[in-house]
Amino acid sequence: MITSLPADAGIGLKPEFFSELHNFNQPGLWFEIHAENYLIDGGPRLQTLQELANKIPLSIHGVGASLGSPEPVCKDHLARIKKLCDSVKVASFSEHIAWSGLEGHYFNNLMPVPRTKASLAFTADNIHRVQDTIQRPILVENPSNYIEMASDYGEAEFLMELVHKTGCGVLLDVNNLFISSKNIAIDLNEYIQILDANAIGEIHVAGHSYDPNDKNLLIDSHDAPVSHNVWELLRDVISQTGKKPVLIERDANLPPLAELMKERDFASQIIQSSHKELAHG
Amino acid sequence: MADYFSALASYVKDGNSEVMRPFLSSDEDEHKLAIFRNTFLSSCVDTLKRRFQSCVSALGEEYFHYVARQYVDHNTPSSKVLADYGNDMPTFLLNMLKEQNLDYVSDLAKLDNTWNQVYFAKSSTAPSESDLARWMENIDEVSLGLASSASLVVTEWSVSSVWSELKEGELTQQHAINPEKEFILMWRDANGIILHRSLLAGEYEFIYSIHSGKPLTEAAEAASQHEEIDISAIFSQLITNNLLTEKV
Repeated sequence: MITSLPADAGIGLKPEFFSELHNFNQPGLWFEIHAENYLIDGGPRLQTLQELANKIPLSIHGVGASLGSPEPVCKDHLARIKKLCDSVKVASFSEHIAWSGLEGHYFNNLMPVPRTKASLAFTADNIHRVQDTIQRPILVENPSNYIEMASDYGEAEFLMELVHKTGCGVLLDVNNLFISSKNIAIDLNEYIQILDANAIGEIHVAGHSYDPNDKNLLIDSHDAPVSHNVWELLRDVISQTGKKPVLIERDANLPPLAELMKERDFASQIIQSSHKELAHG
Repeated sequence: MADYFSALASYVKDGNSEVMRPFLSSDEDEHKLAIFRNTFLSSCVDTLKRRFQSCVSALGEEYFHYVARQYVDHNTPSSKVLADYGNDMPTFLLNMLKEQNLDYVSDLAKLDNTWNQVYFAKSSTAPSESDLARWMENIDEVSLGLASSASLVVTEWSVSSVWSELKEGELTQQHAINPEKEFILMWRDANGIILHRSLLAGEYEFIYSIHSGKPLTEAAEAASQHEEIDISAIFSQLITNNLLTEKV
């Protein structure tokens, strides 16, 4: 099973919401955290996470494994990820098809991976390293594209090759897909057709913004409500994939929890409106 | 392929996009690369702002931003965990701000770093009554240390009371910052609250000696070289606050 998240909507879990969430009871709700914010030895933040994860399904979303780097995933980082996964109840683990560092320098960035035969091989090796370490299949997320790169594969094909080579699943970020369709003209219909719906273990939606210096360039900023276009694309994706766990990603300009929960409930309605039945996970 | 990764890494670090030209399909893409450099710079600066809150309050947002950018230019993160970023900030600030007579800001950064370390440290188990009894029976031999959620700091300026107000945002009263060493114990209590206390030189010596592995009797002797202090009261406070662990 690639994920045990409920096929319902979740929100990003932020320490700012901790005090409100202790007695929260919302059927179908689940949380996601960025792994790197919890690679700590202890303290109240980790303790609260452990308490919440015992009550509400938790997805761990890594941003630093650098799966798309020609270098193997850093062993120390893997050890810290494993320690986290061993210390909390985990319903799902995901990472990005991107790279973020080289030769001991890290850029806290999701930088583009050329989709070549060589990068397919080393990305698959890195996915294996993570899966072997945490002893579970992971989901890999499609990036937001800003520049066109010479490639041997289309992005959806590349993701499916990774699924076949490693047994991982796909985290389909619908906002990233929308951004890529605008920035580098990825064909949305073709992309969704190529993905095997059964390989999709989770979906992300988020807000985006325009580059202040280039009004044609969309940025995956996670600092605003989900846009109408992205909601429509989610509706379309869900109608084709069936019910899937959907996360409202919000990392900046955090609104009050109640406001975020309204978006979450809207996503939940879209999911529940799907009549397509597909195997989940 | 390896050239592409090196080129983009180099661009993100120094902003020279020329190295990326062979890998771009159009000239138009060159300016889009700025997304990667800007994300790198802003995430590092934001991390430093969150970690060094008292320094932001002391220097002001704008000047701290400038200082943080200088730091990022000289210190690319070496950990994938941004919370680890900024360990060298106190030394960097000391070198950068000394000529402006702002070197006390380095001490504020030292305290911010300690807060970070103590807040995210492993919790320790309180010693049992039998542990305590054994420690007392073996007072000449038992080797103790501070729990990982407690730490000693020495600052060159007397900044602890200023620091605790600046960390919350702003000063509510006037404080004198003097060029006098200050010895501080910082720890996380059972509710996850970070507390700190200024120590007398003898109290510091006692706790430092214990943390260095000296038996209690030797630690007490080292402390007695300073002013007269009530060793049993300090020891009892360390036990009550669960700040001691036995070194194995």
